[in-house]
Amino acid sequence: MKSAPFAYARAHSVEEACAMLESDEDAKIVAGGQSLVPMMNLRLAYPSRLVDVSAIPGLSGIESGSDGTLRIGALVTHAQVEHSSTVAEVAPGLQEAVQHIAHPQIRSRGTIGGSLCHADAAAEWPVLLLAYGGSVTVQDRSATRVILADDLFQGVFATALRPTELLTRVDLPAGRRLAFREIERRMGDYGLALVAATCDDIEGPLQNVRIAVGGAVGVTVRASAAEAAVEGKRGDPAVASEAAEAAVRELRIIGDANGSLAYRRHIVHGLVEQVVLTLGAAQ
Amino acid sequence: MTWQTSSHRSTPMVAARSVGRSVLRSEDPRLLSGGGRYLADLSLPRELHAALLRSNEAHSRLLAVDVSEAQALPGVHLVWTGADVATFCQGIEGALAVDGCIATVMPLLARDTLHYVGEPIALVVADSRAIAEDAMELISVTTEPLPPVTDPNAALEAGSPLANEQLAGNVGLRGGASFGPVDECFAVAHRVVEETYHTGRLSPTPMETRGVIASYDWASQELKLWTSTQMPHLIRYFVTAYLGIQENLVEVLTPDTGGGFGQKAHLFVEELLMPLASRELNRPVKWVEDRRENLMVAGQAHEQFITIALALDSDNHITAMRTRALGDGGAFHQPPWSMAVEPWCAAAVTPQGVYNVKTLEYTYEAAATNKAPVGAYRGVGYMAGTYAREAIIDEAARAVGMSPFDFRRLNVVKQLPWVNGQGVTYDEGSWLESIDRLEQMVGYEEFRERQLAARAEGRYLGLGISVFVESTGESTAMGKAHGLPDVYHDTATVRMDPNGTVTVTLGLTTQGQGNRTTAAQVAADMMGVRPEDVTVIAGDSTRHTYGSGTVASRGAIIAAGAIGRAAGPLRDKLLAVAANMLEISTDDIELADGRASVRGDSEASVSIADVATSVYFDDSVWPEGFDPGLEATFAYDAGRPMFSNGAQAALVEVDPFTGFVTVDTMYVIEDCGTVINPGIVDGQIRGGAVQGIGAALFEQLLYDDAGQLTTTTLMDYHLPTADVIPVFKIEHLQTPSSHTWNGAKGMGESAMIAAPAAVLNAVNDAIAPFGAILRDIPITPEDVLRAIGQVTD
Amino acid sequence: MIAMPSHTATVAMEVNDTTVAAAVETRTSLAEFLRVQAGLTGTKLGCEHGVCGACTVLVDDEPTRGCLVFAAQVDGKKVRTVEGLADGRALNRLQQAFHENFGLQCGFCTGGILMSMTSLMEKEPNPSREQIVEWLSGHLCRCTGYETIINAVLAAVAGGEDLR
Repeated sequence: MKSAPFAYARAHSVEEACAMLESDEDAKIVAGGQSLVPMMNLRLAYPSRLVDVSAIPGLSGIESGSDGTLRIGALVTHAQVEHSSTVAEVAPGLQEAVQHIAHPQIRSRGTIGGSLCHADAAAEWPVLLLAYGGSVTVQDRSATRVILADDLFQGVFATALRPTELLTRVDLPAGRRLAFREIERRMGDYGLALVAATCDDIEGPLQNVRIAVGGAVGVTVRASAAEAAVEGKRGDPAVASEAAEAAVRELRIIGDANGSLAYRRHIVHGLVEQVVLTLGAAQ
Repeated sequence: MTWQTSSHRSTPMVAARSVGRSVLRSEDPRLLSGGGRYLADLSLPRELHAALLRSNEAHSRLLAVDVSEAQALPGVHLVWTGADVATFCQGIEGALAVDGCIATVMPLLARDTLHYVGEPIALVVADSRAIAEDAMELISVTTEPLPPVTDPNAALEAGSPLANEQLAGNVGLRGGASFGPVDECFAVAHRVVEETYHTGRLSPTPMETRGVIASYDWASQELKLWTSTQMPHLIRYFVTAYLGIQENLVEVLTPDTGGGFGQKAHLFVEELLMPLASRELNRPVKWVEDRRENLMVAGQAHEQFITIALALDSDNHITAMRTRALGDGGAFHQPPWSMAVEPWCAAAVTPQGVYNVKTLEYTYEAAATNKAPVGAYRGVGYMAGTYAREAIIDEAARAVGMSPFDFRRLNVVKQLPWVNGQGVTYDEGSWLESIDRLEQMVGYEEFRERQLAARAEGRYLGLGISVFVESTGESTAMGKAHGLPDVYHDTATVRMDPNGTVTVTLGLTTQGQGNRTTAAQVAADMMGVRPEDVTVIAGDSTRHTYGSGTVASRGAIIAAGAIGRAAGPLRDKLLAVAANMLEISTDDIELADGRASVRGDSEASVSIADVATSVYFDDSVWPEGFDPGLEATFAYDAGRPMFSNGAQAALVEVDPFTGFVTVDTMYVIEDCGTVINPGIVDGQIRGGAVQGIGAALFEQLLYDDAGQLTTTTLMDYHLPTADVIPVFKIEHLQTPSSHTWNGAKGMGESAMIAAPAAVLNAVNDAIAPFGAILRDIPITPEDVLRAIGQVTD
Repeated sequence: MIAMPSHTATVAMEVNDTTVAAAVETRTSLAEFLRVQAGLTGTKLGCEHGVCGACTVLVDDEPTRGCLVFAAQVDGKKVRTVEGLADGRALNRLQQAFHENFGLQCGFCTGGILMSMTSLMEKEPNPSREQIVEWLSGHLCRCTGYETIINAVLAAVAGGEDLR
């Protein structure tokens, strides 16, 4: 179980990394490598070249902006988020969610940027980003642009990034209340389903509700009908149940060896109910 | 000749200073500091690395294999296909020597047919494993599909396609027997309970995969073969038989081994291919299995469909039973255990377990399928047999409205010795006591109250039990008792040095069980020294003492017997010389704590080191006609099977939303006779039970309808992790065996044998309020939710 | 400047306080580099896809799967392996606790577990049983059933902060 041969280069700036990507269309970016390297070892991925971005300065901080926006550099590891006092302060609940990512030995190395670019529908960051309604900043040699979470996930393991672009920063908006639930059989397993929901962290009925689902779907998605069922209402059992019904109706839920379509639908239903109730409980 | 079996059993009065204590393992400091040397850690000068191109189809006609591009890749030294190696060896024959087993011959590399996903097609030897894998991608294989046979029940139906052209009707094994008036008992039965149970296909998954290094020297014609095996002497025998190399020129070496669990107790084609490649290339050739190969082809295990029918009389006694065991055998017999051992053992050896059923019949079958060959894995046959029996015992108890303890108590054999229907005498054990003790341990009545209270809160607790008896200490007599005419014996050499330290050389290998420590404890007590004064060389080379393999819960019994026999004459010499030194009769001397002491006189003693020195160097204290030296070699073959027994209870909670089953507590009653080392024995129990929990709840090798294996990584094949283990409560009932050297009985498999049934029965107890019942393992979360009606299509 | 594609790389790292430098194929994993180039075979490869944890070492003090990182990515960093735990005279307290609690059987997974637990205790000198279980869940052990490993770590924790 050895990787096929590849060339390796360490980039020292975003520009250098992007130049390397431009010069070789089969090149792949590696930061932590916790998703890419197993695929290479199993010979499911054959990059011609690894562009190691881990040494690029300026991509590894966690800051909160003046408006409270949480700005996380692409190279920030899951473990750094998990232990950041800034995160604890401005994004309550996020650290508990991040603890669902694999194991400490993986979180120590895997990065938020890598996870979002890999866009595994069973992963936590895509669900969280989508639920927060955050955005990512991407750069190529000539330009920088912002991709909204709603536009990022384009298909199975596919994002809106162009092949020559590098994700440099993740922004999560301030003032959001988060509820996150994931069902995994063993600690660190891929979730059988994971659901994140946010709303404005204000008194009263739930406002600007966003609900994102992963794990039981091919592509991380929002459950818009479920959101609509909750918007402007209290997160009580009747509303939660209505949202859950809406979610399983609207989503293209899929099954696999770890749980059929029917099982996943049951779990998604329950988790949507739970996150709505959790948002509601904090009213 | 008068080689009486008693000489294999008579035990001198030995002061137990070391046996019975949790002596810390002598293996540990080296392993804890990274000093373990496992197969992959060895490297030889000029070594090359091998990889095997394996079939990704379940059943196909193999039309062509084009290796020309692979051969041309720089760094590649050899590419062989089936035709190339067939000139050296036609294949390895497999069958178990039981009634009704039909042999197969497995080619070293596929010839004209591919029979299962993972079957080796080509061998590549290159400068590195990575280059060998590069080369494999350049081999072009042309095939024509054949219908895959994936369901063992359908495989045995008339008109089924054949999985392997060598096995007519896909029958790899078919036999059975009947004892007593079975039909009559069923005809007059007050009640008949009959069900079918399925145990899933497992991988033993030792953390160290398999591996082989072969180094053939053309000048001396000697072959050194390092292999991660549990049975090096058998491997040497096979290698010489199949490759035509003289046995005295072959040395099989077993470095540190990272777990075996039965998987490494087989002959595999890689153990023949690497010597052939090394001889061809005149260089050492190393093959280290990767995890994907390990899950794909390294001795899959335990999959059976077992149907049991119980006839009950109006007093709820079991009057007769019928058992049909069907194994999903895979495409070939993997020698020596083959696809036969699993169903044969489940059906024939002890289908009735501890219950007083003498009227019984059984059939056993193994169906060939287009899957990887099955083999032995901890509790082979016993786990599935115990699983099905203990499950139907629970169903019968429920049907007649008795508690699982009461129903078992009613039917358990209460008087030993007892001769079962098959004619095997069970003479030692604590069968009834283990049930009684387990009931006290779990606090059954109090549990039922807790269970009711929990249900009122929407929580579903369940308690399930499982009772077993196991024939341990695999020996010639044990095999014969159960109808398997194989021969087993093992040799030990014991030597005491002039300064009183001891070296023991065993034919038994170790895969992590701590055999070196327990063997040292046994030898220490025999020689009256501390275990720290004993070095144990455990089966690391076939140049040393002979062994039949560390399998089938035999290590402790066999090691103790062989060491005991070899140490006996040394002990006699020490006593004789000490008697002269102390000027007293040998009968009055005790060897213990490093001294030869006069019984009842704490002052009169001499150190064993001094006695040993005198044996070597001081002829003035030698008895007349003394035979100098302190070294002896003896073989041991246990004179009969030794029966361990016990009972387990699992306390589980079922989550009605997720369907997850949490095993909160495992209660274990174990009777393995004398416990040589509680720390080690309890380690075997915990490890075995967690493997049993894996079998019951987590692990399964899955083939799709096309015969494609879909669980080829540890992301798909789910081993238990630290977050899903229970709390253990372990108690020992010690009924020392009068047949073994120090009263110990085998126990390495018992927890794995008992745990799955306990978990299933506990889950069924938990979901009983829903009127639901499950009969197959692993129990997936979805199985639970479907059973209780939470999930429907 | 963009380097020309090459399938080899010159790698130097500090392993257990000794610099190890070698030219290797870029596809050489850190675990393979440690085992072959550094000659430290205590780091085991049990699955090569990041699940079993036997290859876990510390890279700049962070627990890292040696099979999921290429040696080239670790150029210039500090690596600690199981061989660096003891001082060459005696087992350290964590190792000793594994010994005294029967926290290992075959030993193949043990080195990786020791490195993870070392890291845990460096980050959290007084970890709870739950934290130990969480960290241990990133390792597979097929022999022990884990309980004695947890007990061993708890025993080591109870012995104070200095592992030596």
